[in-house]
Parts: sequence; structure tokens; C-alpha cells
Amino acid sequence: MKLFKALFWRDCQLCFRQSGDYLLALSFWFLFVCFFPLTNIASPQLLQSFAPGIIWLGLLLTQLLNLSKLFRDDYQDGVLAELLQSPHELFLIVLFKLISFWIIFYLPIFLLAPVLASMFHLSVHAIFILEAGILLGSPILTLFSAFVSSLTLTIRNNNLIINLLFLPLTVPILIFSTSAVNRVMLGLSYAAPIAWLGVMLLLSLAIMPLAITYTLKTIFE
Amino acid sequence: MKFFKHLLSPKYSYELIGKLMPWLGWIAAFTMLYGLVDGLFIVPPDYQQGDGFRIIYIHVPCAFLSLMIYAVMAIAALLGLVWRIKLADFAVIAGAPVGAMATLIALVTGSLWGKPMWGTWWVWDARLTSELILLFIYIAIMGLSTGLANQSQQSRLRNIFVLVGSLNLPIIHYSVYWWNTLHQGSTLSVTGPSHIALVMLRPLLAMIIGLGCLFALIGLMRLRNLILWESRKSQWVRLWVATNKNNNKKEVL
Repeated sequence: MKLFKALFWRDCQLCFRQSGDYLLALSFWFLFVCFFPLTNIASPQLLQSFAPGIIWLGLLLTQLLNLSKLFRDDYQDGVLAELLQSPHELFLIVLFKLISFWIIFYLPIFLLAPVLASMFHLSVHAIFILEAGILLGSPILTLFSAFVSSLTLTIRNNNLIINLLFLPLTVPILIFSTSAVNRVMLGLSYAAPIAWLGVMLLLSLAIMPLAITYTLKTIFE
Repeated sequence: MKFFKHLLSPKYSYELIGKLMPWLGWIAAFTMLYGLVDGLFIVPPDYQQGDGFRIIYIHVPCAFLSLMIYAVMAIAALLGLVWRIKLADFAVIAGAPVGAMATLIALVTGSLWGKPMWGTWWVWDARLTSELILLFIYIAIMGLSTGLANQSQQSRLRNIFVLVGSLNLPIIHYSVYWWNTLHQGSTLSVTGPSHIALVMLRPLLAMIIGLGCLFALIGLMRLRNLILWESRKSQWVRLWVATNKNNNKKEVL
């Protein structure tokens, strides 16, 4: 717990001392989503139909922009090498870093999403399911992107390859989370996609931290 | 153990692959010749799709092999990670472009087939979409093959990605299936009866074997080049180059 506190405070301080960057990351998502009504007739029905998709696409892009916060900055200034030297399990360090990333970046998004969704005229029930989707899906996004980020640490111009590695992996999350909301709006059962998101979360929680730990160890070997 | 070490040594595996290649080539040539002639000219036209269905003889083998190649790559990646077998790492590098090629052919023939049957080149159908995503995964793996700063490290990272991808691919496939499907059901099935007449099935199986051998041949040729490049500074390659030079000179003379 001490370890978690230390890592969490460090990441918090890093973020909030450069609060401009942090606010940019959050507002990018908001801005991206808000731009879509401008490209078409802003009728409530149309907005409702593409709201879940746009909100989730925005999340994916924001995640890609924030990727440097997962390991890359730490790798470049040498903190990651220090962390590997610490007596704690690397697995725990990775897990804690991911949790603090989620709290710092996704908790505000989770809290802001209802505001954005109501701007798109989603019903309360639909917003509820959207939130459930974000709650289950965003940790998976964090895990996948941390994995991809750790894979590409040693590649110099890694921006393009990161996108190519990350986006195909996220297809199921995108489909399940948006289809849950769409099904609610159609009056259908949303249990199956939400359950699948839960399955994916459990699976990736079991596998990805191990894969990330192994990758980091390989890189510093 | 000693036997395996011998088998995996670059020199021996290079020679073994060299001996295997003509066999694969001839099998591929004969089965594909039979499959194409029988499939394109002799088999009666389909009662619904007419002659248009004949593209099945390219489309289905490629779609099947695009997944098969990924499975082979995943096994190779596992071998490479667990036992640090260099040959397996090379197999992953060599397999990715071949798999991408099979996927691309399956996509192109699929859209050619879709135009007369569905009336459109492309539909956002489950199988087409998951095949498209598979193509991007292959390209991503190919992207991980370039920029080799530290070869063995890069190989291991690539292998991890291939394995994670292999865990994720069924979920991607299922999720896309869930999302939308228009595609006709599987023609072939290992467990249940196949939805195809026996006359039509025979050339199809021949094409699967033939194209499988062809893709294996291309992959093995790439693998052989990688082995040769990897051990370019070793004694046996020098000897091999020297003898081949002499042979070439003789031919010229």
C-alpha cells in the first residue's frame, strides 16, 4: 500500500504540476466529441444514434495521445530503470502504475461522460449503460495501451507503429461498449455485451500485466 | 536433445529446407493444376450462383490459410519465447508477409465475389471486417520487424505481440460477428457435415492443399534467406558461397 501511495502521488504530482498538459488531454476528448454535431444536422435523433460511437472513438484517440504517460516518459528520464531496481515485484509496480493512470485520466472522463452524453440527448438509462461500458472498458484500454507502449519503448519513431498495434486490439471493446448503449436505445437487452466487456476485463487483467512485466524485463535485460 | 540441436543449427536447417522446397513446389503445382482445371471448367455451375461461385476455389483457401498462418506464427512465437529458438523467431518474421498476402487475396476475391452476389464490393459484414482487422494485425507485426536495434530483444517483443494477438483474435472475430453478419455460413466444417456437394468439394480441398504448400514454400524461402543472412559470417556460408561461385562460373563457361 505504501508503494501504491508513493507511485500514485508521484504520478499525480507529475500531472498536476504540468496541469496544462493534463487539461489538454481531457479537453481534447471533449472537443473531439463536440465537433461531430457540427458536421451534420444536429437533430436529437441523429445525435443519439452516433453518440456512443463518437464518445468511444474519442476515448481511443485520447488514449493514444496520453500514451507517453504510460512508461514512455518514465523510460526516457530513467525512472523506469530505477523502478526495476527496486526490491518490490515489478508486477506490482506495473499494476499500481496502471491503477494510478486510470484514476488520474479515466476517472475525470468517467465523471464528465454523463454531461457529454446528455448534450447528445441520451436517455438516463442509456447514460447509465454508457457509464458501465466506460467503467469496464477503460481499464482494458489502459492495459492494452500500456502493453503496446512498453513494446515500442526502444523504437525511435514509434508513433505510427503504436497506432497500428493498438487500434486493432481495441475492436471488441469498441463494439461491445457501443452496442450495449445502442441496444438500450432500441429497447433490447444489453446484458450480453456488458457481460462480454466484463469477461474481457477479467482476462486482460489476468494476462496483460504479466505480458507488460515480461516486456519491460526484456527491454532492460 | 542433441538431435534437436543438430536439427535447429542454421546450416542443417538451411539444407533441410532446401531439400523440402522442390517437394512443396511440385505438390503445390500438381494439386493447384488439378484444383483449378476441375474447379473452373469441369465442376457443374451452382444452382443459385451460376459460374460466379467458382471464385470459391481461390477465396476459401486463402481465407482459411490466412488464419492458419497466424496459428503457425503463434506456435512459432511460443517456441521462440519459451525455448529461445532463433529459427522460430525467424519463422514469425517470414510468416507475417505471407499471411498478409493470403489475407489480402481473401479480401480482394471476397469483394469480387460480393459484387455480383450481394450487389456491392464491400459490406460491413462480420467476416470481411474481421479479415480486414487481421490484415492490419499482420501489417503491425511486419512493422515490428523493421527497425531492429537489438535483434533478439526485438524478436521477443514481436513474439509477445503475436501471442497477445492470438488471444485477442477469437474475441475480435466473435465481437464483429455479434455486431453484424451477412456472409454465408462456413462452407467447410471439420466437425459437422460440409455444406457443399462432393464434386465441388474435391477441387476445393485440392486448392487448400495446393495454396497451403505454395504459401509454405514462399514462407520457407523467406525463412531460408533469413537464416543465410543471420549466419552470413559463419564458415559454412563462406564455403557455400565459394562452391556456388565456382558452379556459376562453370555454367557461364
